Amino acid sequence: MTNDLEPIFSVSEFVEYINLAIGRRKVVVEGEVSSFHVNQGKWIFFDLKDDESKISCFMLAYSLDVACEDGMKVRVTGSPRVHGKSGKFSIFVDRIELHGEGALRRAFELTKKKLAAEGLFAPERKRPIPAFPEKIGLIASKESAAYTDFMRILNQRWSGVQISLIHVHVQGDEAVRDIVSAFEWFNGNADFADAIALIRGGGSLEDLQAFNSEPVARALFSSRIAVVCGVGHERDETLADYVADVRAATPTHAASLVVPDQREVLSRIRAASSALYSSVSNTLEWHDHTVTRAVGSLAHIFQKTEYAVQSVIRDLSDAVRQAEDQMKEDTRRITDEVMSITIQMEYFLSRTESCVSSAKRSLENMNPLTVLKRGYSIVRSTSGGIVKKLADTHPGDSLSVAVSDGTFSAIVSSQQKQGRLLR
Amino acid sequence: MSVKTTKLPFKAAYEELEQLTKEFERGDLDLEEALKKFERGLELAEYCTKQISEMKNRVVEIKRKFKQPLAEDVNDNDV
Repeated sequence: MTNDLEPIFSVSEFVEYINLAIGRRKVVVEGEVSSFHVNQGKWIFFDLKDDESKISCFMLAYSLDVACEDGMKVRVTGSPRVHGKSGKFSIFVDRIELHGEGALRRAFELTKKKLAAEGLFAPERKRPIPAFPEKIGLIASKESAAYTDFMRILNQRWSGVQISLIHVHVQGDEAVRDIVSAFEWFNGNADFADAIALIRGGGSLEDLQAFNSEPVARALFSSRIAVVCGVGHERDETLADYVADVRAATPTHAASLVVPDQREVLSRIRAASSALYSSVSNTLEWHDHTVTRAVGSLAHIFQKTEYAVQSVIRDLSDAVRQAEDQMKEDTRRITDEVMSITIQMEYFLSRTESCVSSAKRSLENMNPLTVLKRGYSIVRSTSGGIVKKLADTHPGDSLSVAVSDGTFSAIVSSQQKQGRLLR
Repeated sequence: MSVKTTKLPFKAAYEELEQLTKEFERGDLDLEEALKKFERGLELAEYCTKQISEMKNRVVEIKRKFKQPLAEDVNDNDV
């Protein structure tokens, strides 16, 4: 029986009709995953169930950005549809959101294991942050306390940096896509960032989901620019932390890792200055010392020479003095001798003189004339001979008697022997 | 010393200063060279100190909604 008012579909038309009718709007369904499997690495099939019902789900593998396995509580977003060939009703899933702490924890562990096995956390691939970055790419929510804290510490520590901020959602549907595209943008515009900082404040495992997602982890891993990640509080750990080149405990810690501390750098500059000062003054001192030593050596040589010269001079003057002494001695001796001779001569002369005068006196006394004056007379015989004894005369002889003032003649009248001579 | 430090990136100035300090530590500079480098070192130290104290941080927000990257000043160092 047919009703003219009702359209008559072919099966295909009907399936298409249904799909148009119900597939236009997205639905969100919450349930537990079961029979999860991946076909040829491209298609994912699983059932979503609760205590009473079950619905088939189909998904393209590349759309899956969370780790998923049986038993997980999830929320799927997708379009309901009927598969033409099998006539099976299912949800064509765009997105799976993990729901509940257990699912999230499990997904975290699964993804962590997978990425670790791929080497995304390998310490040997970690790169250092440049010592003095001039440009920092910042991926954060500009409304967040994390951003404010990060900037406060950054401004306290360092200056002269250009911060390029890409505002992203840090949780919710858009977070993963925002963060991944921010990394893509910085890597495509490398002039804007010497280093990238990815920051977010603390939160529950659900809040931090984006930072535990595989696409974000891979975006960090494939970044050519070194990344500092500071998410949550100290105790929070995210996969982004593990992949980042430098892991910071908090956003403020990230700020302190991405730029140096100006106080520290200033003190290093001061230390360098004073090291330069002391090096130069040491060098100068050394040169000064060398010069002083050289001058000292020269002075020493001069002194030695001077000593030698002085010694020669001393020897010479000694010799001269000796010669002088000898000469003086000789002179003195000669003078003494001359003196002695003179004295002897004088003595001799005076003696001679006295001898002569005595002799003269004697002679004078001996002078017959002088004797005559004293009353003696010289009696001569006629023959002229001087009468000295009786025998020289004979009575009657004429004699010539010489007195002091002339002569007279006498005649010997008699002779007596030994008579009185003086009266 | 006529080498200008203006427009020299901080990093380059600082690294040059550290390099000079290392050279001095090795102690194999002759006096003339040492004095030249000493003067350069002090110039760099002064430049670096000035850079740190005078420069400001600047924040620009990258708007990616436009096809071409567009940088827009959010604020200048007042965060």
